[in-house]
Amino acid sequence: MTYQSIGEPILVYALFKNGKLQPLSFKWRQRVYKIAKVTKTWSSPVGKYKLHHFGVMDTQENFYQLCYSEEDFTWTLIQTWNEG
Amino acid sequence: MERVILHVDMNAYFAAVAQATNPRLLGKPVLVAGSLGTRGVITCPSYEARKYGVRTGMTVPEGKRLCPQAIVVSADAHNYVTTSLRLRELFEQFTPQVENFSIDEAFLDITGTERLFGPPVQLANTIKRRIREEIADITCSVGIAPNRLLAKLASGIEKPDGLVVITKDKIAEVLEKTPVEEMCGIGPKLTYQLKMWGIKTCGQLSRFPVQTLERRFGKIGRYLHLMSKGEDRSEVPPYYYYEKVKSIGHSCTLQTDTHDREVVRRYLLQLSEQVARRLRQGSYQGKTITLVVRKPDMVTLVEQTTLKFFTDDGVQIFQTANKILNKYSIETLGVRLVGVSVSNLTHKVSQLSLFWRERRKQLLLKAMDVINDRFGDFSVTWGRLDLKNLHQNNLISPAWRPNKKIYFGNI
Repeated sequence: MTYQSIGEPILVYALFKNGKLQPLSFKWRQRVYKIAKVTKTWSSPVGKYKLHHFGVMDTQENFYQLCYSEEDFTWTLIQTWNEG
Repeated sequence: MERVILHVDMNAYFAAVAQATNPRLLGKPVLVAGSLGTRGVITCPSYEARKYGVRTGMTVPEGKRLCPQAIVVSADAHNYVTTSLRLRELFEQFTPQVENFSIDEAFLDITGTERLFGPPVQLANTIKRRIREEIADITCSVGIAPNRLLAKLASGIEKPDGLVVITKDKIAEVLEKTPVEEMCGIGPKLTYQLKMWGIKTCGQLSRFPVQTLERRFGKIGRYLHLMSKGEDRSEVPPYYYYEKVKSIGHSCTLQTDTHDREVVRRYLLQLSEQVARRLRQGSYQGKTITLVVRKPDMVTLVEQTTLKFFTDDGVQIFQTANKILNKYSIETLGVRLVGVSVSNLTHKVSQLSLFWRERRKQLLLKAMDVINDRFGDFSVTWGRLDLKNLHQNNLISPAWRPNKKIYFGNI
């Protein structure tokens, strides 16, 4: 299993439903990853805004940590854990 | 009505949260550490890692030697804090009397809730199930007993995912062979002193003359006697109870051991500023400044000074701590860890000074706080701080509690 710290901006398709934000898929380095499951969510404060973190698994059961900034509405891929 | 107290103790909490977040880690030996490097200390090994003898407090290299296949992950304080707050919200659905003993332990007074939520065992199983369904796939051990002391003892009997009940009629039987060190409040020093008298179990302690215990340990002697019999009248306070803060501090292990005084001073300035900011956020000021320095050989030096006035100014705290630091020959001894704390606290009176120099400083600090509240810590700070190498704190103070408010005075 390989861990990588990334910290790169990504494009995310997300659903806002019932007061919750749910990422559905994301595009990173020209490849689209479909999210099979959101494993956990948590938040961290930066000044008066929050970063919202999402632990997600894709269809190949690789793990990614996505982060949404409510200050500037951007998404970042924080880290990945995958086979190989 | 007889009291019913639950003690909920999350199992291998940091590691469990890491595994719930990243299911690829499930079933694998995981070491949660403050940092991933060779100086990292293991804050929580998973149960899979514990089978190899890995324990909290070991360094990462030590842990890897015992379990080479262990996966080391960096501690993520915000994830643990968020989860702990959600756990508390869940507990408060069953009773307003919830006391967080630490980030991963809580007491619940569920006396009189049977008509609403069923018998205590059913309620405990409901809590376990709802944690897994609604918060994260993590387990806890629950103890049920007539008081806090016994509930905590009970939760420690079966781990992980345990549920143990100590009823009133079973107390003497359970405590007869329970080692004294397993009672909350009896630490290694007290255990050693009791063993010198041939007291190893609670049963033996309960039969020991209480007058002798009082002569040796003072008031604590009587508490020991009561504890050995399983007696504890302490309450689980309601949710609105505020805990009095005694001190505020920060420390950090340097990336590498250093003999450079200027490097240590920069860390000390950052830590002093962090302490000062937390003081101001809580509307505190303090008089006693304590400096902690740990050498590369792990010997720790602690020294404090009490000022004649109260302060919440990071520069003042730094200057005081630096004066203490100047007594040590850093160049010869070397430094591995440095820390600073402020105690002897008082509630700050919100009033500007009449003296223009002091007034200007107060206004400057207030302006800095407003900017840092808006844009994040250290968005504006002292020029002397090395912003490129700011210490990032991934760890949680053992004193942190969810929803911990600030309060002065007795309730």
